Amino acid sequence: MPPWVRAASGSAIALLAGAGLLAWATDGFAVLTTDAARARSVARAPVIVPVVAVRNSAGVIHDVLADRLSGTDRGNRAARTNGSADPAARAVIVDFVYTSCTTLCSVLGSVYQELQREILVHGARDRVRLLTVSFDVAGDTPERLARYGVMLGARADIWNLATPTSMGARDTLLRTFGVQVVPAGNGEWQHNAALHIVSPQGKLVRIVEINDVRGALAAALAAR
Amino acid sequence: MNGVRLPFLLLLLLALPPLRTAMESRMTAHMLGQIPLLLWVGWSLASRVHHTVAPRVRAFNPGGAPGLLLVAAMTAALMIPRALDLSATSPMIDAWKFALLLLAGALLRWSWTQAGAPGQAFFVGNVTWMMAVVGVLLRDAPARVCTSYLVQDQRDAGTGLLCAAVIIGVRWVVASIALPTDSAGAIREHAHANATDESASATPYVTH
Repeated sequence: MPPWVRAASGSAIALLAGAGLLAWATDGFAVLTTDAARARSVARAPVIVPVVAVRNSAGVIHDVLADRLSGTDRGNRAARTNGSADPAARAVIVDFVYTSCTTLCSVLGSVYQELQREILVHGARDRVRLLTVSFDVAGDTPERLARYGVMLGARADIWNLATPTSMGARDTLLRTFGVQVVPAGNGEWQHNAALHIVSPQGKLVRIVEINDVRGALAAALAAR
Repeated sequence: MNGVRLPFLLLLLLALPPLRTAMESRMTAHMLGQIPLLLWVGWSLASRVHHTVAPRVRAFNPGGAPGLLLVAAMTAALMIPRALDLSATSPMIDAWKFALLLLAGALLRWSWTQAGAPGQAFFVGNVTWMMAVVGVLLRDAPARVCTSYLVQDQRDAGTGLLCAAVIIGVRWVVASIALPTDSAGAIREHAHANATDESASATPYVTH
C-alpha cells in the first residue's frame, strides 16, 4: 500500500468515525438533550400508554387514562388492547409533579390553569382533558391531591389528579413518558417537565414544552 | 512494576459498580473525574506498547492529525448532554463510553509527539475552547440540560469545565515555551525508547 493511500485512509476513517459519533450523540445533528430526543422519537413513533393503576383525588383506583367524567374507561383500555377507539374519548394532556414541590411544579400548575381556561374558551371540553400525575407515591394521598386541585381551581370535568398506586406503577409511567426524577435531598426531587399529549386512542403522540400552551392544545385537538 | 499495574487497577476500580455508579450520579464527578481518568488510563496503557504500535500506526496517522481529530470529536461528543445522560442510564452505552475513552487516550498518546507544536496547539486550542464554551453554557443555563443531574451539580460542572480549560491551556503554553521545538520532542521520544519505564509518563505535556 503506497504511503499516501495509508495516510488518506487513516484520515478518512478518523473523519467518518468522528462525524458518526457526533451524529449518533445528537440523533443526526438534530438534538442536544435527552428531552429533545424523546420529543422527536415520540413524534416519529407514538408510544402506547400501558394500563397502570392510579388513585385519584377522590380516592378511587382506576386506570391512568380512565376518563372520570363518564365513570368508565371509555376509549382507553379498550383502544390500547384491541385498537378500537371510543368516539367519545378525549385526548389528554398529561404532566408529572409532586404537590409539595415549590419550583417547577408551580410553573406547571399555572400552565395547567391557563390550559384549562383555553379549553373552556375554545369549547374543547368534550375533546381535550387534563391529567396531573404525582410521582410522590407515599406523600401525595387523595386528600393532598384534592387540596392541590382546589388550590389550583381544577374543574372535575376537565382536570383530574392522580397518584400511581405503587412504586412499580409509578416507574412504568415515568419510563413510558420519559420523565426522570432525581432525588435532591430533604424529600425534594428535580425532574424534567413537559406537556405530554395522549391521543383518544391512548397513545403518547407529542411532547410539547411547558411554555407552549397554544401548541399543546393544538396538538391535543389534532391527536388521533 | 507499579507504573504498569496502576492503570489496570484504576480501570478496574472505575468500572466496578460502587465507584462507577457514585461518579456517574454526579455530573461533576462524571465529567471532571471519571472521563479524564479513563483518558489517562488509555494514555498510560498505550505508553506501554508505544514503541511497537506507534510505528505501525504512524503511516495511517499523518502528523497525528487524524488521531487528534478523532480524540477531539470524542471529547465533544461527551460534552453533549444527551450522551452524558445515556451513559449514566444505559450500562450498554456506558461500556461503549469506557472503551472509546481508552481508545481516545491511546490515540492521544500515539498522535501527540507526531503532531508537533503546531498540531498540539491546534488540538489544545480546540478542545479547551470547546470546554470553556460548554462550561459557561452549563454555568448560566436557566434550566437543567441533563435529565440525570441536579441543577446545582450542573453549575458546578460548568465552573469545573471552565477552570479545567484554563488550566490545560495555560499548562500547555508554559510547557511549550519551556521546550518549544519539534526536535526536543523527537529527542525525548528517542530517550523513551531506551528507558522503558519513562514511557509510562502520565501527562501529555512536554515537561521533562
